Amino acid sequence: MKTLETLGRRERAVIEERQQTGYRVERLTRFREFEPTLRGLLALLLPGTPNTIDLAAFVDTHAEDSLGRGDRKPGVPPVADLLREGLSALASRGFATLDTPAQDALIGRMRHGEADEELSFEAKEFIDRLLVLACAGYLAHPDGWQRIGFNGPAYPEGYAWISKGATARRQEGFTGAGRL
Amino acid sequence: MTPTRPVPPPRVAHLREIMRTHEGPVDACIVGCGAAGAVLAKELAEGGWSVVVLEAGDWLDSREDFVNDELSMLGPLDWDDLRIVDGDDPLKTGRVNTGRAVGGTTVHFTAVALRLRPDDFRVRSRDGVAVDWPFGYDELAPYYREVERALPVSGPRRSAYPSGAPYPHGELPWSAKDEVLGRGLGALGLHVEMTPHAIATGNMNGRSACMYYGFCMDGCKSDAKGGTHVSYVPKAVAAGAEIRPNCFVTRIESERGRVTGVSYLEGGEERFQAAARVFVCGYAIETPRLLLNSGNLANSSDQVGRNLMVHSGPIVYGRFDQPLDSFITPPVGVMTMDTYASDAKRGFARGFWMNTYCQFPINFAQSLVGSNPDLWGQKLMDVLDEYAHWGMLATLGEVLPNGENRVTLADERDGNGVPVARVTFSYGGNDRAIVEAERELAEQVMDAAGATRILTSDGTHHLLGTCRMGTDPATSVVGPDCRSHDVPNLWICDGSVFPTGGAVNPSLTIEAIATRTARLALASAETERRAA
Repeated sequence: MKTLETLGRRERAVIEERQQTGYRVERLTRFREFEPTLRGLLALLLPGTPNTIDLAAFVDTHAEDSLGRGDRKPGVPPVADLLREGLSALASRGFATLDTPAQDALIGRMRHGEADEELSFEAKEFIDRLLVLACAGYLAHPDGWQRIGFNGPAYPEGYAWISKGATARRQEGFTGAGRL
Repeated sequence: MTPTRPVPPPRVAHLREIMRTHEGPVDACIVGCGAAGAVLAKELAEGGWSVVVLEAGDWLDSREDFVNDELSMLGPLDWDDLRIVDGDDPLKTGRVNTGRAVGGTTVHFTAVALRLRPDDFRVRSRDGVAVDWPFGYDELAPYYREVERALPVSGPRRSAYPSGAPYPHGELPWSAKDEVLGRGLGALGLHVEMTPHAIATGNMNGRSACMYYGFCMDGCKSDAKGGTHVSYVPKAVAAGAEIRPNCFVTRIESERGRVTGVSYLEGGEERFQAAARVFVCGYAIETPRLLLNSGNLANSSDQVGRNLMVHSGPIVYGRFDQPLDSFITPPVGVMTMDTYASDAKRGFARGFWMNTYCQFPINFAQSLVGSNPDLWGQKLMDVLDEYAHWGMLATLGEVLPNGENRVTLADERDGNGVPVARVTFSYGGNDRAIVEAERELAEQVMDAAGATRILTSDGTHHLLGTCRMGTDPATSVVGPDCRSHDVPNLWICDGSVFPTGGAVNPSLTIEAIATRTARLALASAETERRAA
């Protein structure tokens, strides 16, 4: 990643804020009563997310933001309501207390659209929207970028080196590249 | 010839300072300041008309307000309000296809600036399906050329395809993804060349040449990308047009078969702008929504809202041992259009093309998890960890018009009490055959390029149709000059007038049509004035 002092004012502020807070809030506001369920789900959906990133807080904060998408299928509640409904249903079935294989199996069925009847709610819509929101939180954080090899903001200097060879050298410093 | 005025740099504070304001009735009120609206504003104001443009979104300054950050820009650039989506293949709406800001969708578009081809205008005659356009390629060609100079468009000096080459600016450089995926395309015998972009590769009018930030879709901070907010709006303002941002039009008012102006909301206040003529430029969902919410205006044909089209576009992802850093340089790189023209041997009408592509991390993950139910947990993290090693091919295929794919009004209302759009979409058999061919060829290219793993996501690009143009008032909403058949002082000018969609990114064509529409409107007003 570029060093902070080479970046624009807005870009630098975004990075500093996310590095400082990691989205953490004093307490969840929307989904506090379902916090163990939410955290349990997120740990399975995006395992190994650096612990500097609080995905549950991100989801709690952004549940009502459209974040670039406004489509909704008929009969499906708005995302925040859908998440509440899903977390509530899973909490009442004791999701957080199931063993990991059982939790994994249930998430798998939800993702494949095979659990809507069993759970009597729009389980696929729920898990898909939760995953999409969690991905935004993980991949908007500089620690996420560092792990996956994304350079982050480029303004104002941009890139003078874009060829294949230059690309290989740029990736040398990233955590992700070291794992390959 | 219009007099040459100095073009002010695209700094919003400066433009606001020099902008004329209008009180009372104007010659033209334009609804929406995107690809079409901004072009109309410039052309009509330069033609001497008083012009007010009402834009629902904000007027953002590229350097002050855009941030090189994917999350920060999700929302401020997008029409991501509620839309009810149904049909067999419900569309995603928002960032993927509709903008909301001065500049409209051209603020976040990838800037691909391809022309439609002669055959795209005569699909019924050549392929026996869909309809022909009411005019041919030759009619639009001079307007394409004008727009290519104004944006400006950069691209190859020579092209293997019917196109605008040689372009005013030289082509963008090949990046690592272009080298690697271009090798795959070449190995299959496909021709490869740089895609033409509405991206300046030299400095002009206070705009920098492309800096390869890669953040085109989050708002270009160098002003190299020629969204209409930097290419046309400064000229419109210099010519005396007034841009009113954050004004949401709720209704077009009419009386005795003519429109009288538009009602709109600004900061919660209801206002009315009287106008001799109204131009609706809200794109293929909001334009029909506004007409339907205005007492079913201009709809004696029952065609308003019908024939909604998209471009089909599976994205195919290939994982390579070497890093590609696809996120550097504009997202669209080299392309092949060898598969664009109709070919009877393939078993479907019309065609598709593909280009190298990049999705930024959030978009990359969200697209993949949306189409691959097994991608979550460790399997997903394994893909994300190698983000810099993934190359992408984006495909664009033609989707044929179908009257049942349409925009209607839903029961739900927005925050202002206006019924929201219901968007119904299902692919037809020909469309599905193209999607299959797009995916298959892109996978072969990845394989030939040496990808060690291949994934796919489904998706669509662009929104077209819903107020088709034609010569017959019984089967079309507007005439060949984009003037409503029913209401003589109402024009519709945006992607919604396309009778068929071709398979190239539509902004250049929308801008060419808007230029032509403005010239015809000015000329016919002059003729009417003389006759009176």
